[in-house]
Amino acid sequence: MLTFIIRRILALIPLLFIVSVIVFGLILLVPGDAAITLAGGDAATRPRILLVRHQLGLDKPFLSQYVSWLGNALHLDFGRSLYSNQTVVSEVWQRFPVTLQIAGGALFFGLLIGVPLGIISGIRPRSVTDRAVVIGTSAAIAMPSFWLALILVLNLAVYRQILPSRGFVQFSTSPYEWFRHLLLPWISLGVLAAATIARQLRGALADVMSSDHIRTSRSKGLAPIKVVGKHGLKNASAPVLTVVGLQVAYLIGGTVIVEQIFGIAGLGTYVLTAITRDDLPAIQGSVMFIALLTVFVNLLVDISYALLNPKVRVE
Amino acid sequence: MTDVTPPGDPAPLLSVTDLSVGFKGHTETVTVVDHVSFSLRAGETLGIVGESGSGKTVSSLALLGLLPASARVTGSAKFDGRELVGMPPRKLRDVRGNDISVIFQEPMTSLDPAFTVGNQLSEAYRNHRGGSRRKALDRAAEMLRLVGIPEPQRRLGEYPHSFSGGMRQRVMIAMALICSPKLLIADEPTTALDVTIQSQILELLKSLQAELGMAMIFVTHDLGVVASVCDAVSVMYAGQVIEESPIDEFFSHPLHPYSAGLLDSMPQSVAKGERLRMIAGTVPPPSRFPVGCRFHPRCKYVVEACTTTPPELDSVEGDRKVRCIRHAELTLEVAK
Ligand SMILES: Nc1ncnc2c1ncn2[C@@H]1O[C@H](COP(=O)(O)OP(=O)(O)O)[C@@H](O)[C@H]1O
Ligand code: SF4
Ligand SMILES: [Mg+2]
Repeated sequence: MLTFIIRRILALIPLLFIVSVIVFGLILLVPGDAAITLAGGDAATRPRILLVRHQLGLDKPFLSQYVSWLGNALHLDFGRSLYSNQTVVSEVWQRFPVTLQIAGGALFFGLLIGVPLGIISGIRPRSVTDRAVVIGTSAAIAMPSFWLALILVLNLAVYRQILPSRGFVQFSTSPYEWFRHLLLPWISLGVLAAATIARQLRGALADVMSSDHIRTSRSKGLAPIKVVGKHGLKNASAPVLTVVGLQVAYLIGGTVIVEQIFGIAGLGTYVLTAITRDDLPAIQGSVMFIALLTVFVNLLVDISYALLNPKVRVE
Repeated sequence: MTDVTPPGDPAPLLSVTDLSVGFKGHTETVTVVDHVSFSLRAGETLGIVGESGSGKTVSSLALLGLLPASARVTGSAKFDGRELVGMPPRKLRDVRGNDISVIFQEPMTSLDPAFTVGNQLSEAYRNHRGGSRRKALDRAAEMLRLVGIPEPQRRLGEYPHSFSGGMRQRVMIAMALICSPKLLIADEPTTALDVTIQSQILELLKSLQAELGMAMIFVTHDLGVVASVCDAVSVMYAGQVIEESPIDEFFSHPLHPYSAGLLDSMPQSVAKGERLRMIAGTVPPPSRFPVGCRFHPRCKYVVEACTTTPPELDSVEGDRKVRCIRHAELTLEVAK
């Protein structure tokens, strides 16, 4: 198992290298003289242009720019924001917990709703409940999360005022208010995750339930809860895990929009602001961070995959 | 009924009467097994023989309620004084794996790939007998030794993928017998295996049966196997029993043209160099069972009446039965 994990981590190195090239290459997309544009375009003052040019190393050849950028990045140094003058890492680190709470809560919501739905429809494909689940999840998958967020805000926060429409409260300040403020973001993002997980589990479980070894389990006299809960779910969990890994990437992307709608200052807002202000170090640093996060989650998925499936470990 | 029970003997262990199975389709229910009856006593072996698609597996699974939800089962199957057809699921679970066990035709896929062999064996034991994990694993190791798997302690910790087909079937047998059932249903247990492994598994089943004294229903399409294992045989064709007989009489003079055809196509009854005589044609699918005698499109002895009148299962010679309108006039010779 340990060698499996090490092999997986080593396999990530080329991937991360490619990501770093792309992230650094963002600078090529900056129109005109990058230093002038990033310093504020027409409004840029001469000293500021020189400062930006020097800070980003734009006065050096491209390759050496990349090498020194990568060298710093390996030490988790992405430079300073062109606006706040704080280090990008400290700003990202400050914003990340909020986003983690939104995305993590949404994933939890997705599992909480998606897994039971997947089970009840997967054990009886084509039954009435199954058809209802299929229709419901199709609708949920087709529905954009920003649209769902707006409808929820309008109904529950604006007209009925049951829940707050904006803002964020730290858990340490008030767990109750924390929950109330995060509930709508969680649902807006989590419905898609729930529907996707339910559909994947439904398909996987239906396949497993018609397999020979499930017939064996039943022929031993096991109760349905054991047959489905132990033998069914463990065999159906691998494809579901893959989907959960993909959902994490979608959820992190989705927080960008949801943070805007609910006025929460998380990583998504940070990236968006950085982009509108052409704050290149901030963009590079946060995108790299999100890429690392996604890769890390997928590594966890791979490892759990191997834990669940004895054959993967051998190969 | 295959009355292998001489008069005055105790009641049979299992007595199946008019067992029918239909599958609910989109428009209609297709009857796949049609009024099947047979019985066997404790310790005996009944062979159920027939070509692929004749309803052998469906009949055996119906006994334990293991068919998919679309199946409609009617008739009666009395086991040890209890009626299995229509038995509430909770009660039926006490029978499965405990009083009656099954081993299947597909050793490669019948074990759960996600759990160790030890886990699956001890689970079968604890489900009915309870007790500690430790004790169940000891019992599991004992069973693996019994079915001839070397180093049982070590192999308990392995997953099915590290076992060969023959070894997996041994594991299945160990699992089926772990609660000492009174009846083992073996559904073509050797069909998917290599010839040399086939005979090993067969020998193993025979010796285990002698040792444990259980009854066995041996489902197969191979009459050679029936000759070496069974006390009586029940031949199925197109969802019906067409002949039932004690084993010796069956092999010396079969009563049904289909049985005679099966015997003729056994490799043993064909002289060296001669071609295997197969019965021409195949078993029709349940939706297209012929009118009259279901075997008539393939029968050498067919007459006009066969195509219109469905034959009854008639008793002959006391303890034999046959479903053929011409059985009294035909003398079927089997090449020796
Ligand atoms: N789940 C099912 N639904 C519909 N028809 C089935 C099902 N299972 C088996 N059958 C049909 O029942 C017939 C008998 O099958 P089976 O008992 O498996 O034959 P055998 O074991 O003698 O080869 C076949 O025609 C098969 O197509
Ligand atoms: S009833 Fe007729 S067709 Fe059927 S087996 Fe007898 S002789 Fe052949
Ligand atoms: Mg079969």
